[in-house]
Amino acid sequence: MTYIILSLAVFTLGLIAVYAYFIIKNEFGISKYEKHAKKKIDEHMKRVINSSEAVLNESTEKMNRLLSQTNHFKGTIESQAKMIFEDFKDRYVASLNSELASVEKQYEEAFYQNMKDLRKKLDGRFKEQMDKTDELVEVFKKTQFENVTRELEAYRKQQEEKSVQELQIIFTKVLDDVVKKSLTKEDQKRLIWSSLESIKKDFFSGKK
Amino acid sequence: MNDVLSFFEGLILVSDREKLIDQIEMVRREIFAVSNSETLEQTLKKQLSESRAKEFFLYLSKYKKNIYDGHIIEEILESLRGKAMDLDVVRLSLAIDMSRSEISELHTKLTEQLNQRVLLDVHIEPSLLGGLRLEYNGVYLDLSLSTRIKGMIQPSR
Repeated sequence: MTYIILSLAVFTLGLIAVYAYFIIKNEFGISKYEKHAKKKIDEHMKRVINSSEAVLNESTEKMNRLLSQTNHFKGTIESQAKMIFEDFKDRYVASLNSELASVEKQYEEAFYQNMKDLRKKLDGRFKEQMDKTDELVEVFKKTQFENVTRELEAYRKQQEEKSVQELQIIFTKVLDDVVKKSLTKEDQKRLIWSSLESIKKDFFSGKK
Repeated sequence: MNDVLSFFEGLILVSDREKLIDQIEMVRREIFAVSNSETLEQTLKKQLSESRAKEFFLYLSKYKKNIYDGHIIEEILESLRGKAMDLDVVRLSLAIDMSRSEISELHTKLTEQLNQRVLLDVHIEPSLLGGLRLEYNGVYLDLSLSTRIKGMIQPSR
């Protein structure tokens, strides 16, 4: 038993020793290679970066040059376009103005002609209306004058008749009173007889 | 007309004619009431004045017909009534009232002037003041004092 246990212990230790050996061996071996590789890579990378930077700088420079050229062209084009536009604009505006002036003139002439015609027509109609108005005024004046005269005459007549009637009423009343008071019954009878005798003989037969 | 002269002599006013018409009607009624014991004249005397009764009796006798025949008498009376109604009327307006005799004188004068028997329709209108106004057969004659005064005042046109 002891033998077995010792054998197992020796065997286990042997295994541990082997395992440790490989671990240590692997650890130190990789590190060395990696360092070497890293160094190589770094060097390569450095070269690549340097090369890229140089290319980049060159490209940037070229870009800047192109940009500068572009800006220059752009400015030139813009100024030329501006000149062309201004020139075109001036010519177009001048042409428009001329056309407008021509149209305006035409309209103006047509307008004045129309106005002239209208004025002529209106003058004719105005004169006609004035003539008619004058006629109407004359008729109106005459009629009004006649009406007023007639009304005044009627009013005067009415007033005259009224006054006469009033006077008649007063006189009649006064005379009636005087006659009534002064006439005796005998006078009345005499009046009746004299009235009766004053009737002409043929009066009734003539009227019959 | 002569045969009715006695009747119409007393007719001056329209009211007289109305009275006569009433009498004619009365006689017409009485004719049928005559009894055998009395004459027509006696019957009429009961209702009318003696003179008027006589007038009627004489008038009826003039026809020399049987005056006791009621129908004949009725015809005669109707004829008398018709003659009375045919008399023309003069409308006479006076300012004062006059007596019957004065009116009768006026009537006589008017009858002369008109040359025919007429009746008077007398109206008293104090507003006439004096004189008269008459209307006959559509003819109007104003001889009143009031109209003469108005004529004096009214201006000539």
